[in-house]
Order: sequence, then structure tokens, then C-alpha cells
Amino acid sequence: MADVQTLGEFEQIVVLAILRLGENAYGVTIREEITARTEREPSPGALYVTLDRLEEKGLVRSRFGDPTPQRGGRAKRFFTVSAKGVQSVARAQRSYQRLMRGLKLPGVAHA
Amino acid sequence: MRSAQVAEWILSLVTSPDRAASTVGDLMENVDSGGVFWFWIGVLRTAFSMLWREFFDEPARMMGLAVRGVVLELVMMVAFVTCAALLGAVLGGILHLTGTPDGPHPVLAALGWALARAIVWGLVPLQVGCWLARRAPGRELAPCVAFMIFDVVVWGSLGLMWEGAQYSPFQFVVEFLSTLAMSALYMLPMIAGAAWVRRKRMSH
Repeated sequence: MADVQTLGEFEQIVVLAILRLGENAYGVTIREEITARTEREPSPGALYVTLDRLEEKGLVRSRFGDPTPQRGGRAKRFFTVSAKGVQSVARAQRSYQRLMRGLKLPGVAHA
Repeated sequence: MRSAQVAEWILSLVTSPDRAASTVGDLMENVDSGGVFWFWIGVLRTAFSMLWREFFDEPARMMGLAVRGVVLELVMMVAFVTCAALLGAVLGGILHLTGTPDGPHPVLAALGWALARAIVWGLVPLQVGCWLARRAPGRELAPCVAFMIFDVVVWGSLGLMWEGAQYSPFQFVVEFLSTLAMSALYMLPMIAGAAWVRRKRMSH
């Protein structure tokens, strides 16, 4: 538990998007997944800075794929969530759920 | 795509070369849907975000470096003015001894002023940029950001204290923007110096 890190809202979104994408999580797909699921388009700058920060915290890992001609011979940087990352996002989500439980939000049909 | 190489070079100033390459590859995938304009907006926003983060990882240290950079800049300026005054005195003496009391030829005088401007606006900030970058390995450009913030805050505040009471809101905005523009212009050789130190470090 001591090794579990606190995560900001956008960090949680990024970690969850990587988990959803599985093996195909790299900059473009992560951004598309976030846009599709949250209806908000993150700027590339915010996304790459967050990915670097998550990697420094040991919550995600990255590896470079093979260079592809479509990208001018540039490799994709694929991301996976570490066990510590999974624990951290699970704890953050449980906290949200405990706070929401039994709470009736005015004007919201399904909280 | 030549512009992709330029974009890669820009991003490699704030991240590792392999990460810069993969980020540019990602942005290139969106060129078909978003266009070249979107590509460049993405490159610049990513570079600024990464640079800003480098600064905010250690803001106190970066501001400390910026203050030391300002002191170094002042020392260099004083040394330059002293050397220029000594040189002027020596040249004046030579002209007097050779019987040309009207002063140097106008072309020589213009060249002298151009050289002085090049030193003040080019060489001094370039050297300060190199000095700052050597003291922040891995985040060479971050102290330059701190220097610019310090520059705008200090000179902006002094300007306001001096003449601020007479400013209308419009004049205030114009004054602030002109201070920012001058500072940005002055920063170009400083960033070039820091970039040079970074490239040299990365090549080893």
C-alpha cells in the first residue's frame, strides 16, 4: 500500500485509456480513446507530459516498436500499465465510488 | 518531410531524441486529417508543455540559476562597457596624435556601434545561455525560461514603478507586451547557447 501513488484526474484518465487499449496503446490511440470516451480532446502537450510523468512515477512503462514507413521511419512508443499503476488507479476509483455511494446529485438522473 | 526533421530537432531540445522522434511520428499520423497547421501547433504546444514541466519540476532551483544568470549578465555588461571605454580612449588618443580631431570615419563609427550591439544583444545572452545550461544538465532550457520570467517581472515592475501611475490601461497592456517582446528577442541567443550546450552533451 505504501508503494501506491496518488493520481490526478487526467492521470487516471490516461491510465484507464492505456488499460482499455491493451497492446496497441501509443500516443495517437491513447488520445483517440480519451476523446471517444470522455468527449474532451486532450492537447498533445498535456498527454505526452502526463505519460512521461506517469513513467517517472513507475506507473506506466514504455517500449519502442519497429519504425514504420507511414511515420517517416519513426517508431511508435507503446505504453503498458505497471502493477503499481493498476493498484494506484484502482485505489483512486474506489475512493470516488465510496464518495459517490448513496449521494444524490441535484439535477442528475443517474449519479 | 523536411519539416518533420525540424520538428524532431525542436522537440529533442526538451526530451530525448528517440522520444522526440516517436512524438513527431504520432503527430505525422494526424497530418492527413488535421493538416500541416495542426501538426505545427501540436509540435509547439508539446515543446512548450515539456519545457514548462522541466521548469516546474524544480522552480526554486531554476529561479536561483536565473538570478545568478542576471548577475553574470551584469558583470559581463560592466566588463564590456569598461573595455569599450578603454578602447574608445585609446582610439581617441591615436586619432589625436595622428591629427584627426574630427573623430573616426563615419563608416568606422557605424561598424563600432554595430559591433557593440552584436555583443550586447548577441554575445552576452549567448554566453549566459551556455553558462545556465551547463548548470542544469538534462533540462538545459528550463533556466532560460526562469530567466525570462525574472526578466519580465523585474523590468516590468521597474517600468511600472517609474511611469506606471501615468499609464492608461491600454498603455499598460502595450508596455507589458513590448517588455515581453523585447525579452523574447533577447532570449533567442540565450536559447541558442543553451541548445548548443544540450546538443554537445547529447552527442557525447
